[in-house]
Amino acid sequence: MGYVAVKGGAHAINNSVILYKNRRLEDGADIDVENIKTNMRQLINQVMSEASFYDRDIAALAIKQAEGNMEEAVFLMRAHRSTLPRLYYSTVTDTREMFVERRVSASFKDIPGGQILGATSDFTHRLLDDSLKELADGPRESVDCKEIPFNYDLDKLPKVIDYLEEEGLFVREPENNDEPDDITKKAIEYPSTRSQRLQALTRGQTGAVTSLGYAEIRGYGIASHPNIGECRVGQQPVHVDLDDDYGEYFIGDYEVTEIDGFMPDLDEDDSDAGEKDLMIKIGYGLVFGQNETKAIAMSVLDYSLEHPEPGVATSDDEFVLYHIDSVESTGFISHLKLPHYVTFQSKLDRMRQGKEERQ
Amino acid sequence: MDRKLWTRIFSKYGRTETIDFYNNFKEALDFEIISEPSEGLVMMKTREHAKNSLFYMGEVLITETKIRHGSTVGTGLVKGSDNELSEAMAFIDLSFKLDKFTAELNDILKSLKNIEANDIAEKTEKILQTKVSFEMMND
Repeated sequence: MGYVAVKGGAHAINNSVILYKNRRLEDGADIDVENIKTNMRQLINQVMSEASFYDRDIAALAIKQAEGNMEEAVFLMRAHRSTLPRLYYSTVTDTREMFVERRVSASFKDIPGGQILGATSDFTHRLLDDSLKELADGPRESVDCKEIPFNYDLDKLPKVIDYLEEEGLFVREPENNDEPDDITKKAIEYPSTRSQRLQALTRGQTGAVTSLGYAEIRGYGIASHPNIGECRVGQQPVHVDLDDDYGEYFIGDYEVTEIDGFMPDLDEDDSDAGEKDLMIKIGYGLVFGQNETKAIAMSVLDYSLEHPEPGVATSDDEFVLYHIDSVESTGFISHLKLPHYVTFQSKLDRMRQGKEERQ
Repeated sequence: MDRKLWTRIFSKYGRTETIDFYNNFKEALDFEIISEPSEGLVMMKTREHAKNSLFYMGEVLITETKIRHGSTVGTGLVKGSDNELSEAMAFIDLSFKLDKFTAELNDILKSLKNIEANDIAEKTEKILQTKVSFEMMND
């Protein structure tokens, strides 16, 4: 069979694009990007997190253009991001400076500063609310305010691990200021470094990270129930240093979710092998936006990759990190529907030839 | 002037005041725009608490402007896409560096600090209404 170049698709493709773009408006009114930004907060959080690119306006536009298709919106965000120059690296951001809007611990009832539920769907009834069919002018209910004694600032709230450290149940590692690797500049080489793993996990597809995290604790990895030591959601200030001796420059506050997942582990540093102390180890999760399930799953996978078990898929960095990226996985899967005429014809030729030879 | 402080307060709480200041005073200082407002990225370098190491958690959109008076450069960096605010912030950065209009800027800063304090108090009060009081369970 000779190779045959195929032409003639332009008319069909152009009209397919027009039909796709028109479909959004065929059955109803257009929607304002601003409305997507304000009403679809969690969808925007997810898109920004998977795109590894924080901007609510661009995320809202991407969601509108993608008709709400997550993978397409993430792809659009990543593509747009690639057109922009990286001007600065921030100074080191530390979530100890986060303005906390929600902070709970599933491990300790009494934590310094208390359990602050913030805004969460955790306690809502999962019943459809018909009243939402009507447009509202603003909030329908206001918070019932009363005096609450509180001796902390929400941007200086102590972390739960500080409490464990005081008890001698958690050992803080020495500060490591090694320059992190950047997987957007250089592809991961295996075995991966910790900074590569965390970067890949935080930008991983929410569903993929959650599923693999679930598999890890359900029976295919540590098969143990981690305890969430601290889940905090809030506004993280970001600064840059312009190296001009006038001090750091504030860029903005960015919503993030952080998880310290507590995993009991034998203290590796204990020299007396016969009497090892049980110590708390942390699996770490940090993602853009309020995205708690993903952050928890990230902490589980961080732990499993940091403490690999032989033969366990979720301990295999290549298996986990290669397959959780939204653009890479959805891109490869969806490309299968695009024309593969030549390669498939080649397969058919081999099959036919083999059949003829056997006859 | 503490740049970490004034950049936070002007950009978070005083968009209108910052732009108004720029429009009112830009004719009083000779400067040239060396880099028009343009969008770019800042990569967030983050400390994690399991191993106390650093990693890159993702990029954020900013708008940057640079202006110059002599050899002094004023930089405007703001969150998201906001050319007007970025240019005004560059002018204020230049003003502080040159010790120009400091009395006027400090007056604005003072009033914005009050706005910030009220905003934080209001947010804190609302958030604290969701603080669990376990003692009440035994009542």
